[in-house]
Amino acid sequence: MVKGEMMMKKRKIKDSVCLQDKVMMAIIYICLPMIFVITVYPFWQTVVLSISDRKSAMEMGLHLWPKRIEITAYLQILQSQSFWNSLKNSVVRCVIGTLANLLIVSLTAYPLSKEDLPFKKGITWIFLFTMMFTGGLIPTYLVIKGLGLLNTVWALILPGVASAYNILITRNFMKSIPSSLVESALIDGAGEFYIWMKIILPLSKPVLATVALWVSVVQWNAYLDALIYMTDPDKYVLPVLLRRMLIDNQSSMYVSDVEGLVSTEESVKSAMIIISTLPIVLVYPYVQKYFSKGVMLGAVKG
Amino acid sequence: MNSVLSGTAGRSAVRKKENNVIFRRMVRYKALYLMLVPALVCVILFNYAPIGGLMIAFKDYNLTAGVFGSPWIGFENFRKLFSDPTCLNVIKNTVIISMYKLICGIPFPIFLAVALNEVKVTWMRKTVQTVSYLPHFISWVVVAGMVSNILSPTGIVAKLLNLDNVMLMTEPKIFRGLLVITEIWKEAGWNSVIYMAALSGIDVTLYEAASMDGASRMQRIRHITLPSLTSLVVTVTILACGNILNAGFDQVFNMQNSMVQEVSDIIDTYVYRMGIVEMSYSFSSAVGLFKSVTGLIMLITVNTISRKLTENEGSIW
Repeated sequence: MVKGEMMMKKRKIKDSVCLQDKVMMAIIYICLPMIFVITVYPFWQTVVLSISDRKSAMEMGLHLWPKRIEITAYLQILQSQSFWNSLKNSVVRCVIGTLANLLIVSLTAYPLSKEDLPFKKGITWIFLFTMMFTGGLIPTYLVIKGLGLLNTVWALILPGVASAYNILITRNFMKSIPSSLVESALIDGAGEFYIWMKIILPLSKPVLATVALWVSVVQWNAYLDALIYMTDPDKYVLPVLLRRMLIDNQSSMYVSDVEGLVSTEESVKSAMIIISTLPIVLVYPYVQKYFSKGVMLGAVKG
Repeated sequence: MNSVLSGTAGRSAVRKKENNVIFRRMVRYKALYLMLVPALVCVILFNYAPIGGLMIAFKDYNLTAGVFGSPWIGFENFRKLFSDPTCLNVIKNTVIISMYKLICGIPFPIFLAVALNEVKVTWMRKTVQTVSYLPHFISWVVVAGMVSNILSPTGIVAKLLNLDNVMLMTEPKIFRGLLVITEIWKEAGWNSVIYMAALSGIDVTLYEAASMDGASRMQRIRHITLPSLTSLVVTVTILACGNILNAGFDQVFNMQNSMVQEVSDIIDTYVYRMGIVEMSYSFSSAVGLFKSVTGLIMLITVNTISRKLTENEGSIW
């Protein structure tokens, strides 16, 4: 009997507290879907616009659903020489850039991960300093111009290839590799380069995968360097073409009308947005966890 | 006298021996130094050479004479920088826009992290989390394109607010607000990652003990979750203060138009326009140098402050 009363009392307390909780949970369960909708809507609206016919694209409205599906805009883009050309340039830049970055970063991180390398600290600072102070836009442009790299893919790859941040997180990871592995190989007479290739690189796969993902996204999205260094329209990368079409409003210059089919500029622009973000949106859900892991790797102090 | 001499001799002998050891180790590690060469060459060419090239900020650069041949003009460019009303306006804009973003940007990631932490429905948490990170990986060119669709006279905002033929993107009064909102839309999710990680590090027994004592969820959030985030919030905010001159080039550059230039032009876009478009290399280098130096000073300052406050935990180096 006494026990039952206690239970009742306890329950009452819990109930009165719970009202507050219920309100809070209600707020959370309303807010999170709202955040979802707000984040997704711009993408969705762009998809709808890209497949809308001329009339409904120009209409005022929420653009939640296309009234009539028309893929003219995509056909127009797929028939444009500029599009294929810039797509090729983007892929080349992305692949070479990522591979070069991985090579240089892993090559640099290994010596810096050695505790007893003389002048290790000073050399690390040479890289660290580049994160804190830069020469800026114009001096860098003049150097690249002076080296004759304008309008070559190297202008987009070499300046960022020894990224201090990536070197640091890779070095931190390599520090955690047991030194006994390296020592036993040394005793067996292996050279440092051999050790780097056969022991360090295979063991560093997780961090190198993260770095590769980061770099490829950055390379895919980068436009400013391409805008400045690649003045030849044949050398445009996708984001630059996108910028010319979206921001400078010159879509008609790059995408010509397909015979008999005319879509609005809005649809063409939207289709272009969709095509250029598609690789990221498709791959992203599978690799998302590596990205957030990378942030935590970076949080480890240098 | 003798003993002093032999003392110094002994010490220098020791030093010599130490140097010898270091030298021998360097010889043994020569392959490792070789591995550093490519990165060092790249950094010297593309990071340090431009820093040296900043000397054109003190010169009257012209193409034919080159970096070294152009005549020195001292601080003339800097005098211009601090007397030109456009320049001063640009600096003002930069600070105002970053401050807005900094202050308005604080609560959203925290709310998102705490809310996601409370949701026990896994698929919902995972979905919202994944989707909220996504915009971070989309370039500002694309985001600017989508924003201009949404804000166009035929877009959703005009429809919901019942506006007729209003170009929202070209309205100077709301443009800074737009920059803040789009920045939050793009980055809040991603910025919550660090808070999520901190939350996952909280000892579960704290929550268990609290609920044994009859604490409600609300009370647990107020007394356990939020206090455990305080120092992180302080650190993140202080470090963000060091970045105040970076008001977001990519964003402004892609969303800006001539109608809103007065309120939205920031140092970086100004440098781009003066340098790349108008080709006054010396002056825009001077503006860039001003930004780099101020940025470095602020970075060192905030890092020192944050190190003091958090006893070495919040330092970036």
